[in-house]
Amino acid sequence: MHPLSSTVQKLGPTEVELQIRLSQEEISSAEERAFKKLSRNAKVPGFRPGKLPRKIFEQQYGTSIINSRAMEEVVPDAYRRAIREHNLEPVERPQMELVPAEDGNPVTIKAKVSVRPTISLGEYRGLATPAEPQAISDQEVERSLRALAHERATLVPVDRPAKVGDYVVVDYVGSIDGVPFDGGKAEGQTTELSEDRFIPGFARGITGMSSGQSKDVHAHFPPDYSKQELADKKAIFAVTLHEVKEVELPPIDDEFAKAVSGSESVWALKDDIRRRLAAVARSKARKALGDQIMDKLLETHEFALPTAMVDREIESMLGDARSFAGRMGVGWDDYLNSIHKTEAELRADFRPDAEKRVKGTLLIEAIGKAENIHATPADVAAELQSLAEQYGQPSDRIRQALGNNVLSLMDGIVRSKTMDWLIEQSEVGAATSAPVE
Amino acid sequence: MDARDVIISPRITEKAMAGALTQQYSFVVHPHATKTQIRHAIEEIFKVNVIKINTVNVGGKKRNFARSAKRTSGKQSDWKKAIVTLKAGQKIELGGVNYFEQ
Repeated sequence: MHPLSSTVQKLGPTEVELQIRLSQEEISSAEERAFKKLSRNAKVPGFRPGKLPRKIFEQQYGTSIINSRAMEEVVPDAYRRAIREHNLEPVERPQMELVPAEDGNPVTIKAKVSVRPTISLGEYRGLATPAEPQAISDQEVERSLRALAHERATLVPVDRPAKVGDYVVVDYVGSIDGVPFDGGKAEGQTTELSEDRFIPGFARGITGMSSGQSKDVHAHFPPDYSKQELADKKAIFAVTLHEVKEVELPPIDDEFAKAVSGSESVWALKDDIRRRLAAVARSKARKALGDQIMDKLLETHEFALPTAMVDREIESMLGDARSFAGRMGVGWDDYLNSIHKTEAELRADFRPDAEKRVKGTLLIEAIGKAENIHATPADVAAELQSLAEQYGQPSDRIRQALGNNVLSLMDGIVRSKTMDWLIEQSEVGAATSAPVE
Repeated sequence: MDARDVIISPRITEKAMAGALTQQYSFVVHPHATKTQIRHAIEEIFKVNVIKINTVNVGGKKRNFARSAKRTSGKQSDWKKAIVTLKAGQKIELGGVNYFEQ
């Protein structure tokens, strides 16, 4: 290949303009290749496909098609080489402009592109000290045990006035100013009697009623109630109580242990719970440590962020918000109305967070590079395997579906490996209580 | 007959272009044109010296048309091809473009 000369001009901390000169030979050889390809599909009477002379082809189809096809080949190629030549790390697609040849100057490509900023890494090892692992207390184990018991509780009808915590079977008709409203009516509904499950006043009104009794219960919709027409209204519910049921917890014994988890005994179950709680606590601590490290890193490093990356991040956050609204069954415009924001305002709101994320990503990637952390084929295979399990598809299929996105998958692996590495460094640093150089 | 009525068009095909390498240029000519007429016409139009002329009458191909219910058949026009050999060193160009050269 012919050497091509290109020059870089810095437009800003994260933006450069490349000027790439294309040699005439390079263009004409590319044109020849483009013509060969095109002539295979050209149909001109008197000539077999692919046997058409270039002169006739140009007469029939014009020269511009050959030229533009050739450029499609040459330009990205030249761009890639220029990027390599100057050791640039672009973070998005370039904006390219072709300057035609004139006055003996060869054809030039002007490419504007955002590049990764140069990051001078400060100290990033042992930035945070892990908190002392907390032993799991007996109370915590007891609490989980009780929660387990609640899941397997049975309801037993009792003959006594209802109290908070009981389950009740009720009919009720609610009305505001004597007019029944939508959704304010139920028959034979079994529900737990607890204050925070209903609008204020409702549960309190029912407590103390015995089965068979009827009563008018006064309740007050809170001002921020989700249905606007009901918010801040006083309502009267005509309630009939049919049955009071008490929650009966199963005895916590070996049998219970067997039913819940297949453990041998209560002791084994408790052990099991303790282990699980400890694991949860560990991963929580690890995450907290990661967050701490990240915060420190963000604090101690300052560099210009490529706007293109930040904008992309904002877009993806908007996309998340949009799909969130979609899942809630709210239209995008309604959602915006409900949070009293325009899309532009929302964008502005997202910006600081987006900047933080981009900065974090760049930092982590820079550290990964400095520490020579790579995604090994085994890592990729493992990641594919876990994706495969997630989607219930063979991993080959996933690999195919990903296509070129495997590269970004690998980036992700490198990032999480780097993060793990940072956390480990902190843990090691704390263990030896000496700064790691 | 006028020269431009004798010579109908140049033949621009792979085969005709191959002939251009040996000074032989191929044309579609009027079916009734004689070799003498063709010689005069070529020399008049292109200002070249013709050494030899071969002609051949080409029969039009039969074509069948099977269009809804009615089946008809027809025939493409017969035509005459003339292969003109020029004096060494001379060539024929059309509108500045030498169609016969690769």
